[in-house]
Amino acid sequence: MVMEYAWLIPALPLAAFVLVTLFGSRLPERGGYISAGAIVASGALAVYTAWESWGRLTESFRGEHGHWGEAFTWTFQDALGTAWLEAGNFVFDLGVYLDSITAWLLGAVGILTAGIALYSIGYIRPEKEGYHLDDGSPIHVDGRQRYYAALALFVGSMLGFVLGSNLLEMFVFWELMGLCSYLLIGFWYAKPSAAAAAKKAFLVTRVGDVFFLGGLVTLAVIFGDAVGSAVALDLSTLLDTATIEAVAAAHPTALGLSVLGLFLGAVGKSAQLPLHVWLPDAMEGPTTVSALIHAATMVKAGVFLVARFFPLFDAVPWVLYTVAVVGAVTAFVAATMAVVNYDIKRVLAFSTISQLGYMFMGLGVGAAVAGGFAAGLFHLLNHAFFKALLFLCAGAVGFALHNYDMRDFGGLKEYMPITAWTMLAATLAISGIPPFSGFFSKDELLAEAFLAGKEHALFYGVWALALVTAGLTAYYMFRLWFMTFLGDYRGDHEEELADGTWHMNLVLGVFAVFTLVTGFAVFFASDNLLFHHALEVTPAKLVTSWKTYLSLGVAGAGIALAWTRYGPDNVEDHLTPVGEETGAEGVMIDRYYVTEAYYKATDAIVLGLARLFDAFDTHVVDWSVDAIGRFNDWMGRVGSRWQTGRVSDYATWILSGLLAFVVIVVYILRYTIGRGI
Amino acid sequence: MTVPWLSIAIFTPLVGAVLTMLAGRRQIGRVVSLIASVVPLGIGAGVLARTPGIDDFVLKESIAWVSTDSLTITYTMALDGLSAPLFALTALLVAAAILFSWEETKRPLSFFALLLVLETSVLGVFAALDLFVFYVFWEFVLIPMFFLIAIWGGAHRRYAATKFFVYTFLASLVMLLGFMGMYFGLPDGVPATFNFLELQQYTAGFSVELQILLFVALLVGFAVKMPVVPVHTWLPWAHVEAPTAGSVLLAGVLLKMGAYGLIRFAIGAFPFAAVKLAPLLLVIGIVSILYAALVCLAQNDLKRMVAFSSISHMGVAMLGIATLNEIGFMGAIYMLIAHGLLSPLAFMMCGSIQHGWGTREIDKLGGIMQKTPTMGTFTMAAFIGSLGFPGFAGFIAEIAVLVGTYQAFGWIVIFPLLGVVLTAGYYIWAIQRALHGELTAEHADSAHEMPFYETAAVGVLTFFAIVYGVWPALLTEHINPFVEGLLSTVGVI
Amino acid sequence: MAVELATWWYVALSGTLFAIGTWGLMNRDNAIMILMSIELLLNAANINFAAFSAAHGAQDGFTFALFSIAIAAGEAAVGLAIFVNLFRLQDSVDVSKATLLRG
Repeated sequence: MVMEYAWLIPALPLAAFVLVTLFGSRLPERGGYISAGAIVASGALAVYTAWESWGRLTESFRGEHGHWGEAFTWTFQDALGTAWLEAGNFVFDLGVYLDSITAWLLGAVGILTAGIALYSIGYIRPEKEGYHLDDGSPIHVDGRQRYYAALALFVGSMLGFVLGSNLLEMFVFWELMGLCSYLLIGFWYAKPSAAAAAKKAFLVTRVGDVFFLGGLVTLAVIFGDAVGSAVALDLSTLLDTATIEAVAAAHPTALGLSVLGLFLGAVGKSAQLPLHVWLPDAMEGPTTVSALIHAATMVKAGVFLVARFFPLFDAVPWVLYTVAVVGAVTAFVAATMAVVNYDIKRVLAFSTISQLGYMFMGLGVGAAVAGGFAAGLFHLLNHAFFKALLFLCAGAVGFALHNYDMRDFGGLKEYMPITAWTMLAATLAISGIPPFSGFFSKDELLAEAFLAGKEHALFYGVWALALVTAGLTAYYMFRLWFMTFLGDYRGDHEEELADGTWHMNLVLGVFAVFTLVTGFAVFFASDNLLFHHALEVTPAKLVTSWKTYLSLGVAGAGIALAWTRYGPDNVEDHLTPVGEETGAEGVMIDRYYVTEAYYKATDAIVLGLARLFDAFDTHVVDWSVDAIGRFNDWMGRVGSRWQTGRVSDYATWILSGLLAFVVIVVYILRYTIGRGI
Repeated sequence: MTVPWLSIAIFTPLVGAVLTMLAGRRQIGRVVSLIASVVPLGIGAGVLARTPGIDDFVLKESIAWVSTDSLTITYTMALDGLSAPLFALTALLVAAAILFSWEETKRPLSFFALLLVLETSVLGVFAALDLFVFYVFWEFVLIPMFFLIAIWGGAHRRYAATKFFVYTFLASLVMLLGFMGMYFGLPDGVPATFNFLELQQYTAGFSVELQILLFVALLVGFAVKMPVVPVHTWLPWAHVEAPTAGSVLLAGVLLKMGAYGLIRFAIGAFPFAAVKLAPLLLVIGIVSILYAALVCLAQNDLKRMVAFSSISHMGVAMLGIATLNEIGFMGAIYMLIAHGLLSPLAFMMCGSIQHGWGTREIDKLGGIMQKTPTMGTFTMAAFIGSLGFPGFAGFIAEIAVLVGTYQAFGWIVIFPLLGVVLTAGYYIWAIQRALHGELTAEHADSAHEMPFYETAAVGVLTFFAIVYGVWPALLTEHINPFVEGLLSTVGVI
Repeated sequence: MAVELATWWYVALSGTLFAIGTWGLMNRDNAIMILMSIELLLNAANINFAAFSAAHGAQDGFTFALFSIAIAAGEAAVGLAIFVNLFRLQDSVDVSKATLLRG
C-alpha cells in the first residue's frame, strides 16, 4: 500500500536539500533540477497518497470513537526498532500520521510545491549582489544554490509537518519551515531592508513559537500523567476524546493554557493580529518565496495546527471563541490596510493575512457548528491555489518590469495576456464570485457563522465583520487588477513587457484551472468526512439562502466601487503620488503604526534592561570581585608601612611584644595556679 | 593482563606534549600534536560506539596509590554514561583547536604542547573516581590554561589570566575542604579512603547538617567553574582575552567540568541535600539564564556576547539539574555535550572573523557575508544552533530541560521560555548587524575568507552538532542509564 | 661587716638601669649608643640575678650572671664588627640611615 511509503514524501526533498547544500555549486542550475525534481516527485507521491487516504474516515465529526476515525500511523520505532528521542520515561518519535485531514492538505501542498518549484526554474536567475569594489565593479554572486537548498528543506519540512505523528515532530518541522522562511526572505541579504525583514520574521514568529513550546511542554506532562509518558505527545493520544476528557478533568487550567499556547504559535506563524507585522515585510524575498511560503503553505501551517488538534480545542471552547474573534478582527483590519496600498505584493500580503483570518474564523465557529470547521478547511484549500496564482502573476509582472509599484503599471493586459487572464480568474475567486472556488468556501463560511450565531451571539458579530471584509476584499482586489491591467501603461519600460517563460505560464495556467475546479470539491467529496458529515449548510441550502445573495451583493458593490475609482477612465485621478499619503490613508499605509510601537517598546524595555544589567554586571558584580583583590592590595600596603627598615623601630616592637607576652603569661599563671589547676 | 586503555588515552597527550616540544620545527610539531590529541578520541569513540548503551563503568582501572595509616588514595579511573561523551568531546575539541591554530606563529611548539597538557588534565578529571586524584587533575587544568591566556591572549591577558586562576582556585579550595569533610566524616570502623565509589556508600548516611554543609562546599567549587551568576565574572575576561584555541577549550570542556562534578560528586554523594537545595539550584539556574541573556543583548564585541551566552546555557544545565527528574537531567547532560560543540564553534567563528576582518566589534562590521560567504554561513550556523534551533543538538537539550522544568516546577517554565526568546533576539540581531546588509565593515578590501584549516575544524564541529541534533538516540542511549541509576539513589531518600 | 641592703634596692637599681637601657635602645640613632644601651640592659639583668641569688643564698644566679657577662662581651665584639662595616658602607653609624631593607 502506498501509505507504507508515505515517509518518502518528506524524505525526498530533505535528501535533495542535503545534496544541493553539499554539491550544488557543481550541479547544473546549481542544483535546481535536483530540488525541483525531488519536489515534483514528492508532490506526485503526496497527491497519490492523499487520494488513497481520502475516504479513510468512517465516523462522524464528533465521532463515537473519539478520533477523527481511522488513521494510518508509522513511526521510526516501527521501522528501526528505536524511537527518535527517549528521555527518562518520555518517548518522542518521528513518524507519519495519515487521516482525512492530512489528506486534505497533503494533496494541495504537493501540487502547489511542485508547481512553484517548476515556476522557479524559469524565474530565478543568477543575481548580481551588493558589494562593489572601489572601482565600482560589482561582485557577481549566484544565489541559486542557496535558493534551491532552502526550497527543498522547506518543502520537506512542510510535508513532514503535515504528516507528523507526534507534536514534537511537528514542532521541529514547524521551526525548520521558519528557518527556511528566514533564509529566503533574506535571500538578497545585502539589501538592508531584506535583512531587517528576515530578522523581524524570525523574531516575531519566535515569540509565537515560544508560546507553542510552552503549550507543548505542558501537554507532554499532563498527557504523560494520564496515559504514560511514552506516548505523551503522540497524535493518537492527543486526539483521543476519552484521554482528553480525563486530562481536562484533572488539569483544566493547564490544558486550556497549553491549547491557547498552541493557538498563539499559530497566530505568529499565520500572521494574525498582533503578530502579523512580519508578513508584509516578508515580501522582500523573491516572489516565488512569497507565493509558496507566505501565501500557500507555511502560513497555512497555523490553521492546520488548530485543525489538526481540534479535539483539544473543542475541550476548551473559550479558546475557540478567541480563535474566531482574532480571526474576524484580523480579517477586517488587514483588509483595511490592503485598501490603500500601492505595492502589489504588499496588497497581496495583507490579503493573505485577511483570508487566513477567515480560516481561523471558520475553525472558531466550529465550536458551535461543525460546518464551520469544514468551511474553514475548505477555504484553506481554495485560498492556497488562488493566492499562489495571484503571487505568481505578480511575480510575472515583476519579472518583466523589476518593479512592484502599481502606480507604474496600467494596461498590461495588452502585453501580458496570459498573466492578465489567469490573474483575473484568481481575483474573481478571492472575491467570492461563482463559479470560482472562493465563492463556495467563503459563502459556506459565512452561512455557518450565521448559523452559529444561534448558539452564541458572538458569532453574529463575527459574521458581520466577515461580510464587511468580503466587500472590502472584492474592492481592493479589483482595484489591484484594474490598476495593473486596464487603462494605459504609465511606466517607462514598454519594450520589456511580456509574459514570462514557458515554465511560468504553464504553472499559471494549471493553477487557474484549479481555481475553478476546487470549488466543486464540495459536490464530489462525499467520501471525505469533512463534507459528507460535517457541513450543516449543504450546497442546496447555499444556493437558496438569502445570505448568499447578500454577500454576492456586497462583493458586487465592492467591484463596482473599484471600477468607479480605478477603472480605465478614472484611475489617474485617484493615484496618490509617492510620499504624499496623508490622513486616514496615511495611517493605513503605515499599518496603524503597530510596528513602530513594537520597535519602541522593544528598544525601551528589552534593550533598556539589557544595558542596565550590563552596567550592573560591570560596575557592581565584577567591581566587587575586583574589590576583594583591591582589599588585599590595601592590606598589603598598610602592613608594609610597619616595615620601616629601621632597627630602632624593630627593637621597639620586639620589646613591646615581649612585655605583652610576659604580662599574658603572668596572668595565665595566676589564673591557673590561683585556681589550683 | 588487560591493557590499561584508559590511562594510555589520558597520558598520550602528555607524552605528545613532550615530543612536540622536542620536534624543533613547527611543521613537525603540529602534526605530532594532532596525532597525540586524536588517540584519546579513538578510544572515547570506541566506548561510545558500543551498543546497547553504557550502563556501568567501563575501562575501569584501580591501583592503590597511597596506603598509609593516615591516608588512603587510590588511582581509580573509569568511564560511564556521563563521562564517556565528555571524554570523547574533550579529545575532539583539542584536535579541532590544534587544527584551527595550524598556522600559529608565536612559539607554536609551546602552544601545541600546552594544549596537549591541558587535554591530559581534563581527560583525567572526567575519568577520575578517587577524590584526591580528581582534585589533582582539576587544579592541574588551571596551569596550562593560565599560560595559554597569559602569553597568547589579547590586550588584557595578564589581568584576565590572573583573575581566572585566582578566582577558580579559591573556589576549588572550598571544594577541597568539602572533599576532606567527606574523608574525615566517614563513620568509625570504616576504613578511610578517597575512593568515591566506596565513599558513596556512606555519605548518604551522614547527618543532615553535615550533608548540607558538604554539599554547599562542593557546590561553591563547581558553581564558580560552571559558572553561574553571580560568580561568573571571571569568564567574560578569560574567554575574550584567550586565544581562540583557549576559548574553545575553556567553553567546551572546562565549564563542563563544573557541571560534571556537581552531578557526579555533589548529587551522587548527598542526594538528600540535593533534594533540600533544589530550590536554590532552580533560582541560580533561572537567574543565570535571564541575566546573562540580557547582558548579551548589550554587547558589541561578538566574543563577549558568545561568552555571556555560555553562562546562559550553563544556567539551562543548572536548571535541568535542579529538576531532579529523569528528563530534566538528561537535558542537562545533553546540554553539556551540545553546548560543548556549539559554543566552541561560535568562538572559532569569532576567531575567523577577527583573522579575516581585523575586528570582532559589531559596529565595525556589517555586511561581511557579501565578501566572505563561507565565514558568514558557518557563523549563522553557529548562532542558530546555539539558540536552540531544531536540527542542532542544543534543541534536544532545551526541550528536555523544559519538559523537566514543567514537570518539577510547573508554571516556572515561563522563565526559561523567556530566555529562549531573548537568546534568539541577540543572536539574530547580531547576524543582521554584522553579516547582512550593506558592506560597511572597515578594511573590506583586505578582508579574506577562512583558510582551509579553519574551515576543516569548524566543519567537524558543525557536523557533530547536526548529527546529535538529528539523531539524539546516539547519545541518549548512554546518558539515560546513568540518569536512571543516579536518580534511583535520589528517589530512595 | 658588710652592710646588708634590702633586696629591693638592688631591684630598683636594676629596674632603673633596664629602663634607661630600653629607652636608649628605642630612641638612640647612633649605633654605638645602641650598643651601650644593650650593655646596660644586660648589666641590669645581671644585677638582678646577683641580688636575688644573694637573697636566697643560692649560687644559680651568680652562675647565670657570669655566663651573661661572657656572652655580652662576645655580642659586643660582633656588634662592633657589624657597625664597622656599616660605617664603611655609609660613612656614618647612624642607624636611621640604614633602611634599605624596608617594605
